[in-house]
Amino acid sequence: MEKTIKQWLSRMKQQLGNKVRSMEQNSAQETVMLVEKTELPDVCYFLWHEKKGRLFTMVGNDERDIHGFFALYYVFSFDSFRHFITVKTLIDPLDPTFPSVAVQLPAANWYEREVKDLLGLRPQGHPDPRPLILHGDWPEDLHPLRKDFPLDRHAPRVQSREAFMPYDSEDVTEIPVGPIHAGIIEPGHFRFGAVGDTILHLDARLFFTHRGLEKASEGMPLEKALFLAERTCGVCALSHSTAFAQAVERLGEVTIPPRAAYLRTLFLELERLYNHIGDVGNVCAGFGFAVGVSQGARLKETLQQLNERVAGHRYLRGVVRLGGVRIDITEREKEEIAQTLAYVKKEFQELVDLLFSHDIAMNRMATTGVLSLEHANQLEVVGVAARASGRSVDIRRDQPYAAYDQVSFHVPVYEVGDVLSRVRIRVDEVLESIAIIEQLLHSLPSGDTFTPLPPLPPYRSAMGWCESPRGETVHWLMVGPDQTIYRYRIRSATYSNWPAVPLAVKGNIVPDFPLINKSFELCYACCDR
Amino acid sequence: MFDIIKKIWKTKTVTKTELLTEAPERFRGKPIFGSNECTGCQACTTACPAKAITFQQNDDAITVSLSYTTCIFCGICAEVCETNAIHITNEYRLATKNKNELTVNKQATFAKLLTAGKEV
Repeated sequence: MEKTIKQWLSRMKQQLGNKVRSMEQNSAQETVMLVEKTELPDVCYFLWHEKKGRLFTMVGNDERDIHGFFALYYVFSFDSFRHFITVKTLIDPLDPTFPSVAVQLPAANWYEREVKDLLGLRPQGHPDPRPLILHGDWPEDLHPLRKDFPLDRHAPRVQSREAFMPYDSEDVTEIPVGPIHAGIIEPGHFRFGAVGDTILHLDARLFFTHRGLEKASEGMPLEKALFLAERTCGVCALSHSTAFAQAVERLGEVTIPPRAAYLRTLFLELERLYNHIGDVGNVCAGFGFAVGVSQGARLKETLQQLNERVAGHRYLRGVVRLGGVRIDITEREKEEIAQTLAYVKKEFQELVDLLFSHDIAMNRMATTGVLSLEHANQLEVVGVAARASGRSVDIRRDQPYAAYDQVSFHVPVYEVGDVLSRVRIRVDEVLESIAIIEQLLHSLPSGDTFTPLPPLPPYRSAMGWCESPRGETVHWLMVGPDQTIYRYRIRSATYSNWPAVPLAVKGNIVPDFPLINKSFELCYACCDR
Repeated sequence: MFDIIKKIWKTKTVTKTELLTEAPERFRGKPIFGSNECTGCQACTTACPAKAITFQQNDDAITVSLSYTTCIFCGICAEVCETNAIHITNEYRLATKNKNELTVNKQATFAKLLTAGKEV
């Protein structure tokens, strides 16, 4: 395999010719290509279109105090080779522009708008010039992720530049919804352009919960940053802390002990379980099927109480530490997990039978909110939404971490891409998760639960990734010379999936929007950061 | 329809059938100061993410105080404490009518301070 990767890389270098200035290995799994910014769109399009790499994450970094330039990193994942290629380009602070990649590669759209807002690097020719992360009332020339922007600086409010899709026809009704909603959910503003009952276009305005976590983490000691990472989101807390810890461990070239890896996998699957079961129940709220909602909530509660008994926290916070895990389990707890899961499996099967044999429920879910495979591929959709549309990506299988290479599991894929497919994926994954946990409990190795970390090399980047219940989450990390965070970028699953929701909603009726939205089950907090 | 009614009948009202009695043993609840000695090393005050633990140095004593009004029950203080002077319990009932009861204090031991090389 190693030989083939080398051949494949050198062939790629030949094909790209003098477009690539230099090519070097950053880690065993990552190669960095340095390109001129004028060649950036061509190289990225080549990797994405010709070589079938997935755009994994994109990071902009203010490296002026290291070498005087800003840097952009476009990371592509090549799942068949289990390798990453990072396209790096340096941008002169005197000319903070770069040719937009998003013109050819739609998935880069949000990333480039983010870089424009937070670092003031302008993507030229970008199809959407509106602000993304910082709303229109933030001064246009203030860029908080630049190193010269002090953490405690207060930005004045200016006249809003927010703009939504204008409609010329009188037949189109604009329906604004949110940011404050009727239920206890997070804030997001949705503006529908509807013709009668049918949605013509949806503008989703997010980032109301942007807390500047990445800025706040700058200069933070790693232990504190882990604590912060864990609080990016409530329901994927463990996925975020695991991804962050893996980034640190990869930077320090540390392998965690097998028992710690198994325990992380176990808890990650427990996280997936309570999320998926709760989500199957919540989807029922989209069409007023109250029995489904309360049964789902009840089973989720059972699982959360199990989490509390085993890990001390219902949302599995405080499980991960850098270099391993904080919590070890005993024989009694192994027994308890096995018993609870056997009960949940039986009860969940009954809930699923009720739901799938209910004519009205099936009628509402089938053919609603279809996300086509083409759109899913172009926007690099991940997780449940991707697998429901026939896009087979699962980072647990494609780039295994923790102990996922030690267990066997099946990744369900459906072709239709409607609400029903997304529910079916969750149902199948619940059963897979229970099977994974059974295997883990059966073969849990003994030994230490953590390894101490060596000092980390400054100004080198590393990534940690994790399949959260919503899809893959990537944490990109660079540490400064004093063992504190220099740049930290969280790309959660929801960040990749939100742009796909307006496409799935188009052509459906307005009352189906809550159902479609629930079937994606995207959180706002880890998207907005 | 019949299946649904059967399911409701079988489940009953869970808040009545599954009563909450005690918090689980591992549940991270109220942190307390135990009988062990505090060396005044300040590991807990620097590690506390919510700044719930404060440190006061007077002429002849060092007092560590912990406020439950800001504590987020993460358990990091107990983890970093070398002498186990602070530890986590599974107590979760914290409601009180008197706000002053939500702050507890611990005196750092003088002898230990000298051996730890701290100036008093």
